[in-house]
Amino acid sequence: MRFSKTLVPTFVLLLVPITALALTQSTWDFRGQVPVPWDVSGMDSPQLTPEGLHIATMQKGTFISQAPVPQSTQVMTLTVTNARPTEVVFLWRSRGEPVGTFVQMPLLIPGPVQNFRAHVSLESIPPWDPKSEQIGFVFPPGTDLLLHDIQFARWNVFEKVAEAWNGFWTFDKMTPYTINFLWGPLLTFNPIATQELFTTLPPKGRSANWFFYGVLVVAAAALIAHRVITKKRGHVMIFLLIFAGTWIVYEVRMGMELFSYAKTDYQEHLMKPVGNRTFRSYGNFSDIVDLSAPYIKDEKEFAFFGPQGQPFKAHMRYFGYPAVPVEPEEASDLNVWVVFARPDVAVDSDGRLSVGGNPLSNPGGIVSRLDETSFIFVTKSTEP
Amino acid sequence: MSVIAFVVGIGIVTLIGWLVLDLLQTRQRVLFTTEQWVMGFVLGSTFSMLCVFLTHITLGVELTFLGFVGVLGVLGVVLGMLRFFLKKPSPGFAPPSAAPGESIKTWMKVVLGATCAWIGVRILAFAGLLVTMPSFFDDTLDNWNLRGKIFFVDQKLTLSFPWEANPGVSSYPPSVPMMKTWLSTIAGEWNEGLINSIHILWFIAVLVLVYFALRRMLPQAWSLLGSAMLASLPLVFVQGVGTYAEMYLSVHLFIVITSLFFAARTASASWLRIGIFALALVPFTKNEGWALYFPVLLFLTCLTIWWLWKKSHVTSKTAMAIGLMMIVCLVFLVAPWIGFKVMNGLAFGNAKGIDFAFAWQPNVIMAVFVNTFLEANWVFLFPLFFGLLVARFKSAIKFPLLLLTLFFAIPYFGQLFAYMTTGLSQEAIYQTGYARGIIHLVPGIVMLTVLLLHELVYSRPWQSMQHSSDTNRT
Repeated sequence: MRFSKTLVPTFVLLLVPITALALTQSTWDFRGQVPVPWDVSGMDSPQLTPEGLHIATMQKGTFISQAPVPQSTQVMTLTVTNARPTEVVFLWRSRGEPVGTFVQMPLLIPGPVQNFRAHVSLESIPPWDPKSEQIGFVFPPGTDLLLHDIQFARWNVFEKVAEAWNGFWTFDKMTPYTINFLWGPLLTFNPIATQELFTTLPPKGRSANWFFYGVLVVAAAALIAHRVITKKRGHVMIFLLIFAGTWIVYEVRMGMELFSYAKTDYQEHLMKPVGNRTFRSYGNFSDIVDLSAPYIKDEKEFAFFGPQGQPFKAHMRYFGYPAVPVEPEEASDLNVWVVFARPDVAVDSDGRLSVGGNPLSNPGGIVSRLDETSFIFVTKSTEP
Repeated sequence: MSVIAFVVGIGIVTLIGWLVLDLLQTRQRVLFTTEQWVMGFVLGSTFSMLCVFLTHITLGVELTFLGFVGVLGVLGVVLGMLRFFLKKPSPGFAPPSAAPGESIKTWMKVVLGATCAWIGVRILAFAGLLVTMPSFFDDTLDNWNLRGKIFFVDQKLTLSFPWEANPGVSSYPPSVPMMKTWLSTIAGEWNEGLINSIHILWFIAVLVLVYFALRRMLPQAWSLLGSAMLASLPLVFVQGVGTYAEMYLSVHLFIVITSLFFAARTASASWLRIGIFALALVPFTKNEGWALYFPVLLFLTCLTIWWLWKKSHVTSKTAMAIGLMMIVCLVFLVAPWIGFKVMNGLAFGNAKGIDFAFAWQPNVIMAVFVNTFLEANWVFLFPLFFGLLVARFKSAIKFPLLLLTLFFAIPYFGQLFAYMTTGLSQEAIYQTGYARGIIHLVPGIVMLTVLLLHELVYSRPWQSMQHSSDTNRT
């Protein structure tokens, strides 16, 4: 009874600083007001409206706050209405840096969108100072967007630990680089960073290996101290058992990631019919390969149009051999034309395959269509 | 049909390899039964394709069903007859025995067993994917499978492609593509699942061979630990179930270095013969086999023979006989492929060529550090390995462990130097070549790690676990 009389109040008192450290958010709301002064240069002054700040400019211009961020910030969220995708440059001046010294990074604001919340995990960008003296934006010519508000968020230490746990169990997908290296478990400290993990290269997270090394260093130090104090033996074995334990935890983590690759392949490729399959990072490329096979097998050459800057033509050399894929730039009498993920390739009114409106083939027809941008076209002489 | 092609195709090359290994152990058998079959598959597949290659370029034997079967059939018959006439059991001969057991706690056995089962299920799952999914990785589509398919369609060793007259990948040995051509020729069609299935066999082979190598010296649990440790390395696993040739090269290198290791440990000429035969096949595996590993392993082979002779573990006559065998293998197994490359102007580096202008390359050390310690590729193998090298340094630099240590150190630090001072730095910075180089060495690294770990745990040199079969002398 005496024990609980002291324990419960102590526990309650401990909660006070915990609650005081909960997720904190601050907002610069531009709906009908300008919450902090801003310096505008190179562009027309933004117009204040009841819905927010309307930024429209035909010249490149800068928009920089004259106040520091309102709190220590891990994630910044912009609420915008935007007519078209706009790549702005986000600027910040860290504490202690001279006036006019900014770090900058590109920031793509999607469009057309309405009341869209664009989250930016700033703590994932190493030079970011959570209490920057100034922030700002460089808007390109043609910008036309409505900025409703800017929100600044920070999570408490317990939430960060919970998010690190989530990040640890977030898996990568099998990609072309998986044969060369695997990122492994990464730690993130806010929900936005966790969501975006493995969507950029390199991924924005801290290697969890540091945590394991920390555990091993602390264990080693404790065992060495114990050995020195007690003069007992067996510490090497204990350390090796701890080491084995960390390896097993890592094995479970990576084993589950590898199983997730297998599960994805099974669900998205093996269990789907031809035409609806996805093949890892190549989308439905394997479907166009299978669909084109009966048409190209008797050809010496066939036309292939795939996304620029992607290795699909090289892959088609393997899958299509002995038929060789070529990419005609002028009119050609090739019989079979394989089109993959090319919205600029279509059949014109004369029944010719055209690239960017330029007819290249003899008249023919689409014999097999995978989707709007992928199909097999054969000329009339080879139509079945 | 694919299953039949798989069984027949793998079976024939395995039998050829098994016969060769049997002949190399004419006076003294040193391999476990299963080990000989597994090693026979690995060496037999390369040796068989080398023979087909030789008859193709010298006699014009085409890469058709009759061509393959004719060459492999003659090879099998000749080897079979040699075995029938030459091999005689030695009186009082004892087959290699496994190390005596040591008691380990039951919960450790359960954890080890569960880990092995977990990994085993994973291997099965990915084996299924390997035979049902399309090929995915770049080098598979640009080199290993592409050339195999071209050989299959053209029925000859084609060095140029319709879209490229001098492709860099043609400089790579054709052993892996030819194995795919062989399997497809039996099946009568190019089948993705069939030709990719062989890669899982090389992975399983290296796990089995690591187990048996350790089993000669350590109890079953420790031997299983070695194989489990190797299979649990994520990058090793992905390479093992992937369709690249790194695991194929690594298992060849492992056979050579362990043969030398056991030759030094037991003074058995059988091991030396196996090692020399395997060494002669290394240049026909990948370009790195000739450019990087063959010189190192040739040096280690000569070092082993010299050490055995210096310690009077082998007579001068035996040493000269082994040296003669080495020369014969170099002339008949190594020289033809090297000569073919020279005559056809094929490159000796990787497909992209080597820039030998020496200059300090920034960012390499950080890239290597990240790849080795901060990514998932090797789990915590390297902190453990380097720690054990320091803790058991005296053992690591004594014969025969010195062979494993040098097999790691020379190529590893040699490559590091190249990455830090030449245009090859891109292979480290972009995390391509550096990690693949480790894949080639990692079975030997794991074996050395387990041996040193055993020493550390039991506070006694593992060499004290000698047993009767180790004392044979030639």
